[in-house]
Amino acid sequence: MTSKTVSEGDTRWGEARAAERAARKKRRRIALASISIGLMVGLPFALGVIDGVVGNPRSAPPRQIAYASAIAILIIGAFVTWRNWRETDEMQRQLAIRTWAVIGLTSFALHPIFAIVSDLLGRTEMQNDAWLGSTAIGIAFYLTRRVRS
Amino acid sequence: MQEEVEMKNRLKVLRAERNWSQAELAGRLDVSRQAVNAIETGKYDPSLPLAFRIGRLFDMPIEEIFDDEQDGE
Repeated sequence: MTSKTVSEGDTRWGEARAAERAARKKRRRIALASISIGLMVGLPFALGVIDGVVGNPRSAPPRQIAYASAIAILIIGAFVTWRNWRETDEMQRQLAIRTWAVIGLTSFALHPIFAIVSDLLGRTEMQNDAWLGSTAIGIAFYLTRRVRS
Repeated sequence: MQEEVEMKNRLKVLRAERNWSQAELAGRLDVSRQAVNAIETGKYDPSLPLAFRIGRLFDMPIEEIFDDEQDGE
């Protein structure tokens, strides 16, 4: 049986290893997120460019594929959220809850306002702007709080 | 109407006395470094369980670490 002698300088080897593992995990997550976003945004964009160059836009994919993609994205999103929730601490959870509250509250308030405005302007698509607006406000709230802490 | 009470704490001093970095203290408390920083600067008040963990880590009662500035009243 062998024994390892740990010198005074090595007393933080465990912390260094944990930090290294955390950095590796972070790099892996960033790569995964980049690839996912690249596929979700980049692929349709590239296909659009090709269609534009060829001058022959292809027909829209069947609705079933769109539904399956939406369900897959929702499942992946729920899984990632659940994993992040488990790994964060109470301060980050509180910030997440507050961010969702801000998004919900602004959406609640913006939706009827935008509905009235869209009626007055004779436009019908402004409810989507309410959704986008509330999401943007929520992200701004999250980033501001994150930087301040 | 109940007014909001600002909490002060001695976490930064206690940490400095032990030569711990924020990351090291965060590791011992099982929270993020950002949480330690936010508590130290008074931007976040820890939950009661976390306050007890901090008290146990420094071997001190909670009221010796956190102060709601109402002692003189």
